[in-house]
Amino acid sequence: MELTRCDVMIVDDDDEIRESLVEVLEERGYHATSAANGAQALARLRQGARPALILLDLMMPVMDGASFRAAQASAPEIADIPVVVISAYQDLEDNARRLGATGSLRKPISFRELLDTVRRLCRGDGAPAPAPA
Amino acid sequence: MTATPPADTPLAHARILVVEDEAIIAADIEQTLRGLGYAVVGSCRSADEAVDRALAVRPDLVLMDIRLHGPGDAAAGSCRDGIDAARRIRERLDVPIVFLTALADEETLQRAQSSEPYGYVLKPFDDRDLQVATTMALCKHRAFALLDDRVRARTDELMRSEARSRQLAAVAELGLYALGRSHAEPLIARAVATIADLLAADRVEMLERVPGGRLVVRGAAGAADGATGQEVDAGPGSVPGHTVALGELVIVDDLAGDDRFTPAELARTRAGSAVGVPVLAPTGIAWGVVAVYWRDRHGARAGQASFVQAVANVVATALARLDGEAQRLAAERQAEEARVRAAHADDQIRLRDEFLSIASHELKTPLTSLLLQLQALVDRPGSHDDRTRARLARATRSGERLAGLVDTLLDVSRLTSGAVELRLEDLALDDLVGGVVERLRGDADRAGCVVHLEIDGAARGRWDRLRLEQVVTNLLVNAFKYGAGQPVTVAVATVGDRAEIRVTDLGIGIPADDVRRIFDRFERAVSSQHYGGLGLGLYVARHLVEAHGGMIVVDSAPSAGATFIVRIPLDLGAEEPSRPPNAQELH
Repeated sequence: MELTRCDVMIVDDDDEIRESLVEVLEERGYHATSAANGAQALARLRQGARPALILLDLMMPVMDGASFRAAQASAPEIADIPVVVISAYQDLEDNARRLGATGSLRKPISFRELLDTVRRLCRGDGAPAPAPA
Repeated sequence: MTATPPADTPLAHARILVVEDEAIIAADIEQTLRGLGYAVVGSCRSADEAVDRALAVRPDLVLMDIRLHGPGDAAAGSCRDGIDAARRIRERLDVPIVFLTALADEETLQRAQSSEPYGYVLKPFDDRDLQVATTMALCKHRAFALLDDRVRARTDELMRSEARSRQLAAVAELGLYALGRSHAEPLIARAVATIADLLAADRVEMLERVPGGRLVVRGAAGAADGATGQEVDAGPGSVPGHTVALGELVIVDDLAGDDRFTPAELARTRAGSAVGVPVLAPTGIAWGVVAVYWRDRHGARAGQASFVQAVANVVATALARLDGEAQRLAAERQAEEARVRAAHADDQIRLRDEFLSIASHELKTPLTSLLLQLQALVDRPGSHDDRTRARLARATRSGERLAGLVDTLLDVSRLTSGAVELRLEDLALDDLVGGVVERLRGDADRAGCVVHLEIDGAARGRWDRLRLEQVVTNLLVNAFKYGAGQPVTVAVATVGDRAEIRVTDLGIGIPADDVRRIFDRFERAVSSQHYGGLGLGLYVARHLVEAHGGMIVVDSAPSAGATFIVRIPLDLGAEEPSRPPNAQELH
């Protein structure tokens, strides 16, 4: 396991997906937290959580992905946290572009692509690349 | 000085009746008149004889002695004297009368004047007196007659033009009325009423020709009132039938005496005369006919017929307009219905797409966690024995195939609704194809296929990356499926202004009969029991290629493998239509 763990926040209303992602990433040496919607995620961030990366679902109750992005953009202290949009919808790339996201992962998410993306962005954030387990 | 009337005037040979009871005087007068060039057409001795004679010979002038001897006062009804006779004659004949008289009492003169004499010759008179009196009387009479003719002609003309202007006004009014109508019935009712009114006709019918050549009353006035809806004999023996058969104006002076018409028509209309006018649509086709009847004979005249024709024209024009309007309304209604249907169909398609989109989203959500878990397990090195790892890999592939099928279903739904939107970007086809081949390496290995990539130039263009990746994927998956255990070749080249991708397998090939249908939905050339899948891969590929303005063909023969060739324009341009022009008609 690496010395400085890279934090990834997962925001998705589906328990299974949320838990699977957390599990898979934790297994690969990342520190993963999760929130069931945009509002919960925002609350965590306001409480001081500073993940290196946020995996953001678009369709969520209470506060959806787009609203979360708007709130995030208006809060300077968290505005710079890179966001990767995760969705099953066909127009995923367009949505990602529109929301100014760093990247996108289409559901069902390929394990390889997930790891590549997370690894790349964590490195970009200055965090050391996690060593393979 | 003996002045004779000019020989070239009618005066010269004027025919004169002489009424004088004294034979010697009469003979003298006759001689003088003949000398003046007149013709003496009779010489009477009594007043009664004078009246009879005058009526018999119709002279141009009567020279009448006032005092006549005879049975004057004897029988009732005889003339007292010449004045009486003159009055009787004047009552029946427009003939100038000149009295011959000796000195007369006041009462006699007044009586004489009341008979409007044209002159007097006082006895005793000479030739000249007689000549002056007769000439003046004849001239005066002729002048009066001329004047009379002129006045009468002028009066007739005034009356005619008055009638004409009333008719013109009526036609104009009817035209205005027609413009405001959206139904023919009130217009036709008004038209027949107008004709009956202005032409003092006793019976007016407007009849429509209906299928079968029958004539049905659409509007009636006068004696025909209430006949609307009735059918009328359409044979040539009726005035309407005759008019239709002739196709032009018919004027009947004497209906009873005209053997063109049947007694039945006479009995039906009880008319003496009639006019029939065809009602011609602007196209020249007879809509029907107007029949106008008068009880009297000779009631119909040409001037009246032209008025009826004018009314018929107004009605015909209005009918054509109403017909056109009805057609326009019908067309508008149809267009509206089509629009509603289309909107409904759009709604249906939108609902279906929404449903499929949501359904695929819902299907993918559990798939996401399932696959993540499986893939993570497979990927965990050293933690499983080989058998477990193989089983995990198989489970992963099943999950991935399930995910692929969900994607395909969504794609097909969009293709059938013609809603393929391309996201164009600058691409290098060699990179794109190479990427797909790389991604499918696992599938290739499992199928026992070695993939050869032959790149002839970069083949750059503006295309939709995901769509083209899907095309290549579908073709490769197809090649692995039907050409398992054999090498597969993928070639990329630029041919003219098109990019070309060839995917060649050495598999079972496709019989010529099946080549056409393999690009249809749920079609495959072989039994689905031996080869899995939905049979949608080539269908999707074809539509995505066509959405790019390209085409996909196959070159194959049974047992000789197959080469699928995709050709797409290099320069599709962002403004190009992004949906296949014939996506709908293909189904």
